[in-house]
Amino acid sequence: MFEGVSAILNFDLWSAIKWVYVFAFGLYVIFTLVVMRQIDLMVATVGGAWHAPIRLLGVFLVAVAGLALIAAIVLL
Amino acid sequence: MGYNKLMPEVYKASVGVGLVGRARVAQERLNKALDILKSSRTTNPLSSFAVGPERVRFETQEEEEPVILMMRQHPITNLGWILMALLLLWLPTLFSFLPFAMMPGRFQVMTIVGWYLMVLAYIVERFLYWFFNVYIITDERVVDVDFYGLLYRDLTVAKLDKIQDINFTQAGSFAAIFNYGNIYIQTAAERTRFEFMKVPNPAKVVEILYQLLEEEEKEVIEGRVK
Repeated sequence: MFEGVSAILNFDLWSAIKWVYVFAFGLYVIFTLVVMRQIDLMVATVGGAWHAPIRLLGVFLVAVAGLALIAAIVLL
Repeated sequence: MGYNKLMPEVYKASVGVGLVGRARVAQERLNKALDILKSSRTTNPLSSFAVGPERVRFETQEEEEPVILMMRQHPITNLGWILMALLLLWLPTLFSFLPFAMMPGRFQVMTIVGWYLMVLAYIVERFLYWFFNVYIITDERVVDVDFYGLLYRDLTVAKLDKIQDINFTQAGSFAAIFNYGNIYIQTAAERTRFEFMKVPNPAKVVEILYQLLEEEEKEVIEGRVK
């Protein structure tokens, strides 16, 4: 099906789809950075002994998103 | 001449309690709350009903203003999104439908990675909302901390002496089984109504609030107001 579309349009459909994926993963990285900012705001509003683990959760989310973006660029 | 010796107790008290006296009064109030709940101070950071949590701080908290109660929604209220997350985690096993199967392998892998990242974001967001939407009762004030969406927060505070009326409702079988409910606090503050939604032990919370109000009234009568 996808090969048929590529042949008709005479271009590599998958290389175009790759950049759609990369764009989506890039948006996800931005989203995780916003979440991290949100965590900072939350911890500043109500703080406690859990500061470090919650901040770590935000860092983990950004790291995973960054890795996924790199994987999308490299693998696709 | 000991001027104070001639003064009745009530006038001596009006001189002010100072920080040390203030800490003592706060500790007494906390002890009364612990007595009502027949409990010791909570150390579990994930507790939805933390009594006298020692390391909890909130914005606008004053010096020597201990947190007597910090509440979140009852943990059972998370059941809905947890089940939804489990369903979303399981869903990729159904990803054998035709367009997906016809994708090159590397695109299939990245689609599944993307899917799990979305689910992870959903879980983290829901957890954060549960964890940080808290209701706090100190020896002087009630505080309602709400976060809506990304980067929007609402922190509302009312002094205990502004409270006019308190009532609570427990509706539904889950609320009855797990003992949680909504507490409504009518105040003469800028925000006239505080709603503590789905908090554990609502009857005990109301009892503690009335106890604190009584203490506050006594302070006013004795002139020990801060």
